[in-house]
Amino acid sequence: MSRKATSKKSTKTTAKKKTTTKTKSAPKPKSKTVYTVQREISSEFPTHTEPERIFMDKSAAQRFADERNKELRAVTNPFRDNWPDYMIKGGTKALVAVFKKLKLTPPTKKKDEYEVDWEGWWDRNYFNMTDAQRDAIWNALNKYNFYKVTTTTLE
Amino acid sequence: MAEPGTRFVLKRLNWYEHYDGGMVREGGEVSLSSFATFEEAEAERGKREEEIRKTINPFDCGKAVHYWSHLDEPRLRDWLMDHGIDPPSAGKNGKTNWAEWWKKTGKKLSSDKQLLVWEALDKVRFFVVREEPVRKVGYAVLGINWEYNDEFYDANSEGGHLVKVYRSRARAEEECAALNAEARDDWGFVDEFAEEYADEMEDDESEYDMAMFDMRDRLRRKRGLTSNQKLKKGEGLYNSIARVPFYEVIEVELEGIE
Repeated sequence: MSRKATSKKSTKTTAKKKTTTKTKSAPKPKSKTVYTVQREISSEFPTHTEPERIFMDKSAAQRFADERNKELRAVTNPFRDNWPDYMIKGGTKALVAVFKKLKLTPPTKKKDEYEVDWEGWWDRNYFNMTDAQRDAIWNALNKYNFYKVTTTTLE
Repeated sequence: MAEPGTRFVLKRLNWYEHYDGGMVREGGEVSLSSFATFEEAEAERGKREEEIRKTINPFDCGKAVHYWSHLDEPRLRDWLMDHGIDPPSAGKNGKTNWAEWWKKTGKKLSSDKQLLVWEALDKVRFFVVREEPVRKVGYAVLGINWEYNDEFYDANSEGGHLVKVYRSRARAEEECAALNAEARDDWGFVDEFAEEYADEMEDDESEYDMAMFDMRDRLRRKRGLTSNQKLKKGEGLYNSIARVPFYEVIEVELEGIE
């Protein structure tokens, strides 16, 4: 048998072996859809907070999201690094209407300010508002990036 | 003692250094360690809280009183006076510079009185103990977002794009390595720029002064570092894409998943 022929035979065998190996390879691990809780972060690309916990059950994930949102409301100024257009449908006009409905005086733009200082208003008036008024403002922020249930794959 | 199937978990609350220099708290917490008894966990919490207080001005943890205490400003003043501490006077504009007062006066207070100030500032806490069921852990592969700021690429200080979660760390690491290799192929063009910059470097410049990728803010936030706590020299800075993490593996708790 020539060297060339041997080589060919060898190649064929390898190819056959490869095929056999592929057929016998371990089954792909099963993947399943699971739920997590994340908050969108303003960024050039779609970015979310790191997931803390992965849930099998969507309603358990929703309960966790509710807990996180309650905490977020307790420790955060909703207007920090944020503007009405990004927080509420209808922007400033809609937010002013919410304030008026709650009998709160919304901030106005001062001469030396580039824009209305909503963040400063919240800080100055935090203790002047009732819990219900603060909650109502948060509830009105229908475009705010709250924690939400998202899906992912678990392998 | 924890109930059967539960443990006391010490968690770090999500404080980070804002670009204006102050500390800001967001939602979320990071598990650090777990204990069989509340007393053990609480002792560790107290130790860590005491440590971090040495590096933090509590009045820099938010721009107004409501971030620090459930007491409004007049009540906070009264509370301090009732405990033998003279609060700062308001300036001509009617505002009080509490952070400045702490910087100048805080260290002169006895340790007991310092503790009392911290007691009044009950919203400035960095760690918490929670009794939680024992949960399995999974491993999530997360894509890091790198944004160009006209000078270099900066990693988002938190979060990213969640790719997939694995039960096995080895599988997650394997997938992460494959994704990183793929990303490095895509980002190869950056190395050419880096070489050009390297040629322009002055003799007294460190190679890290010209790093094309900077993830220091991300590392600081991940570790919960305060402004006075530093990273090692060059840590989080990359000149070549060969070592840049485009993807990373993080631990996540699994609930209701066997």
